[in-house]
Amino acid sequence: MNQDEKQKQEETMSAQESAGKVLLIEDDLPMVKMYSTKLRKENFEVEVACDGEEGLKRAKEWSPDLVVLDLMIPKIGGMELLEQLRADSKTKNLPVIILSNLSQEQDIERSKQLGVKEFLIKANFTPSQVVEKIKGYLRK
Amino acid sequence: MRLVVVVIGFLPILFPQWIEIENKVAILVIAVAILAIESLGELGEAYLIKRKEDISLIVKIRSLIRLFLLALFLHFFGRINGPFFVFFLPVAIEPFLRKDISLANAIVGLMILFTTVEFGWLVFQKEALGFMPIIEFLVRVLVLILMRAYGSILAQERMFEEKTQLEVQETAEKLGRATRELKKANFKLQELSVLKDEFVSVASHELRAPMTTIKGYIAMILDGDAGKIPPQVREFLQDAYEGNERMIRLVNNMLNVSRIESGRLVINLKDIQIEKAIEDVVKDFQLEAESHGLELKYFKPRKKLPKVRVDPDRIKEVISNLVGNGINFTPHGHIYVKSYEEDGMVTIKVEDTGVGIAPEDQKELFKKFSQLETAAPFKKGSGLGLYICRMLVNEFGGDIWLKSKVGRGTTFYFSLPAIINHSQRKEK
Repeated sequence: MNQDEKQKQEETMSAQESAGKVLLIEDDLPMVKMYSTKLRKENFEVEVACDGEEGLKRAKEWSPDLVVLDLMIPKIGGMELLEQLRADSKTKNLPVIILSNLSQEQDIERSKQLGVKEFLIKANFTPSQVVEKIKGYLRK
Repeated sequence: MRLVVVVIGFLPILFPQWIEIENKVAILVIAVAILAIESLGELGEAYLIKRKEDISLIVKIRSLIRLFLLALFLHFFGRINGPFFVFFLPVAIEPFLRKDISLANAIVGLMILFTTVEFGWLVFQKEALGFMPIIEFLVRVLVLILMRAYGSILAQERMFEEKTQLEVQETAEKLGRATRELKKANFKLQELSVLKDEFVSVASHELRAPMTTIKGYIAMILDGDAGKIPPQVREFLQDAYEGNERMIRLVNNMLNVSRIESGRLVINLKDIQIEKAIEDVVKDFQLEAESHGLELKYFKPRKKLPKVRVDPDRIKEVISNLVGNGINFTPHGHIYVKSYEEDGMVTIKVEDTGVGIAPEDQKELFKKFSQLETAAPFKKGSGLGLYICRMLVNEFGGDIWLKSKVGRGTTFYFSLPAIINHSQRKEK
């Protein structure tokens, strides 16, 4: 995020109470724009990481309330990142929603074992549907 | 051959009582001559080969001399009185019969010639006149002719044997080659099949990314995230959205079909109450049904149905598919879901008051990529086709079928085997 965006976000934040902190780990820029626009409209604070290493760092430092994770990311892959999150006591119980266009059974199984809230196929949901799900998980 | 000839050449010496003196001498002399000619010939050939000269002429000469001497040798040997004569000669000639019948014939021909010349000479010398000499001559010539015939038969048999063996070998080789080709082709096919699955998998996943982008942005514009949009823009965008949704469904379909066909679709069976799955699905579709102005209701039976053994997620997808289709093909009216037990099967029916399906189209419905289904918008779920529904229901041990009347509506049925345990049986 650059300075302008940060400012814009802070302005919106000051107007209403934040709905939560969402860390979006995704490297496809149009997707990033889609989901972060929608999330910010709903008053979520959004941080974006474009690769696994960055994602891990932000997750530990920024302490988001929920992580939206794409599996196909550079440096550390999505699954590997998830394993590392679960291995660290700080991020062990961090809610994670996987947004991916891959639907390999072994990934779905493994992610279930690692306690993700949901495994969503990106192509099957609109951004607003995804945001609704996130709202649902953060309300609980 | 030399060895044979030499041994035979010296044999008469060992059995004096059978042979006349002059024959013995003649045989011995010829045997030695053959030995000498052969050895000289070999030396000569070796010498010429060393000097890199052409030996073909010497080989020819050697062959001719050999032929002549052998015939002579056998002729004199043939004059032995006794059984030895009859049996030995074919054996002596046999090596030649292996390859060259004309050679054997030539030898016997020469022997007949020698016999005739010998007899002619005796006649000329007035020694052979009389009944017995003529008989002896005729008998000897007859025997030689018989030998020639016998030799011919042997040769032919041998040739036939060789030919058959050759044919068998050829056939075996052909078979071996054909089998190898088949193995190669089979391997190639397996490779191609794996490639196809990989390709479908990769293509599907790759295609999803841009389709998601299109879907997301159009949805956001329609949500008003980019400001207010004129009604016509909205209309156009909705059509574009539907088109994209159709693509997404197709890709999902392809992926699922490819998975099922390559046996990669994972099924986790559980014993469940199907009513819960139906309720969940109906709840999911309520909003959509309402937006279409339709009534969607599940008539849950008062008595608990027997459990069924299915994969809960997959069976929900099947129900979603049927309910979704019902909604999309029904302009007004209702979609009712009912369930009941009958003949050991739990049957679920989804009936609508929709447009109905013509008999000729009904046949095509459960086939791969059935056109009817993909023609209509279907927003929810991963887009299983009826083809996959059928595969799954069959996998769970059940069946899927429909009844429909054009203009009146359609009812889809699917059945699953009921899990009846002892306690339930007691109740009955």
